[in-house]
Amino acid sequence: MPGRRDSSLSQAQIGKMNILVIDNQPERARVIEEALTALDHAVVIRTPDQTRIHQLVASFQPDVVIVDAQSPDRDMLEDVALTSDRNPRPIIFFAEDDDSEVIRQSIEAGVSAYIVDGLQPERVNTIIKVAISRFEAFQSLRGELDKTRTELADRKVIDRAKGLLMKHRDCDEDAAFNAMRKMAMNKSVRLVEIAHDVIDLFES
Amino acid sequence: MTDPAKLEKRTLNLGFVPLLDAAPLIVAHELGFFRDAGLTVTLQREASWASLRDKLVFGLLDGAHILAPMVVASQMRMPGSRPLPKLTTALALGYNGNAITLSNTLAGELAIDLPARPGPVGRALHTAIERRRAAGQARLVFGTVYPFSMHTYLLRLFLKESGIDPEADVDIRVLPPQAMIDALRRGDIDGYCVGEPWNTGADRLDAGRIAVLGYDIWQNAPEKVLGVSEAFAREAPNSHRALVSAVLRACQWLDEPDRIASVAHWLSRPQYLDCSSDLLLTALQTPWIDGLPRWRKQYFHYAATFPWRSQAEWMLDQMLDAGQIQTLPGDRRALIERAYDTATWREVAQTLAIPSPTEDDKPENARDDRHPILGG
Repeated sequence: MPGRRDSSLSQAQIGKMNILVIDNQPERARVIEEALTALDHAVVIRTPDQTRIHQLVASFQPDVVIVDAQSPDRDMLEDVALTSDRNPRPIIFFAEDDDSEVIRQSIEAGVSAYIVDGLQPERVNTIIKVAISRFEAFQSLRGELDKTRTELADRKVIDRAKGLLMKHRDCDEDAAFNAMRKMAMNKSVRLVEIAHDVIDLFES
Repeated sequence: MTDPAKLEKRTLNLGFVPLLDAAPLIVAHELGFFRDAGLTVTLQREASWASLRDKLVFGLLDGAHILAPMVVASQMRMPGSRPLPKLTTALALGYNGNAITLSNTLAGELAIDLPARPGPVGRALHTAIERRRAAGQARLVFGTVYPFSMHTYLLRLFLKESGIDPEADVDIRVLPPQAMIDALRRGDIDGYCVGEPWNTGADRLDAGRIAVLGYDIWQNAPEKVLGVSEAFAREAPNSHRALVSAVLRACQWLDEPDRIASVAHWLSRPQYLDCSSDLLLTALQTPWIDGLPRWRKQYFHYAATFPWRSQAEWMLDQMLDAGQIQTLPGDRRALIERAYDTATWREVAQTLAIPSPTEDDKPENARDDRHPILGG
């Protein structure tokens, strides 16, 4: 199904996307709509008198949201990102030039992209592609980072448990480690969970 | 007061969202308290909390009037958000100021005189929800201003204490405060929890009825704070203290008698709230009608400017309860201490001869918050 937000990078770059435009300047929104519709994307413009973005997001399932950086609706979008499926959609901002520092830093932070006012409509598609590819890359990088962080944290716990076992059971490092590994295998749980049990046992 | 020669940064940009409780920043500006502290300040109005936060974390704003839970939340990496520079606060901007307003339709269904205490309103609302469910009607929708806000948590607290499940029985949705009244009129939402002047505004326009005052849900609940980035607090400690000092003086000034007219006059200006000063006067005065200091903003007394760490602890619990965060950070207290900088408050208070609370924590959400450690 086109327009699902779990589409991979390549699909997102090539395939048809659902794009939600939130802009209080109807003319600018129409220019964007024309450019994107010509490229076969499905575009919905949210008009200023509609308050319930939540329903719109639920029914339309946008892959990308384009919003005015100065729009009061940005708080609603953050709510949607937090409550709908806990997966943020790439958000692209229309921004004034005096926000250029925020724009630069946000792009570096990896998730947001900004379309600066006065852009050429034909450039929009390129910007969206770049925004999505940055977003996807950032998400996967963060996944890696989380994994590494967890592994590091686990190792610290295991080391501490090992030390406690060595002290209280008067054994060497290998014996302490093997005892924990055996317990983990017997109970079919992760080594770090046994390590937590060991720490609880000796430190509580 | 900080020696102006020692200020690391003399020109500051401060952000605010156009609400009545942005008053401390506006008053400090109008009365020259920033100038007295050696600072040249530009006040910048922001249309959303999201925009204000982005500008704060990326250094376009040096400080801002910000929702207290946003500062606590900034210390954690939220699910699905990028790791951003963290925020901290050394000054709370007072207690109270919110209310729950209901649509005329829903207020009519409750069939009781409003505003009333949370107990009777909650019971009537519970009955109305049961009746609606039996009739196969849609769930009630309540508006709040931001996911991480006291508005969200007060609304949830009120619902839970009324035996209403905030997740299963109603929908809670974020709307910009200025869109609340129209949404209420259109029937998009059935009620909301918001600060002033948006409750008084609905009442005056006959778009809805004020049902419960925030003060009656939790006497002296925290609300906004003066937020800065950790980088600013670290790299410009003297400027930070000067800033806290100027705004603290404004909070003190605001709690004196006979300030309402000046405040309404200043805040109504186009560069600030850009609204009717009559509306602001009503919003500031109404709660005094029954002679009790209910609902009125408490800017200074009862240590209302102190960044109580117990408040940050309470907010963290609410984030977990609301499912906004899945797990608590390992070293919870260290996070709280980074978010709520009591040491800077104490240093500044001493220079202004304002007595300091003896503790960093107090009992929270007690029915009477006049705890001995708060002093008068």
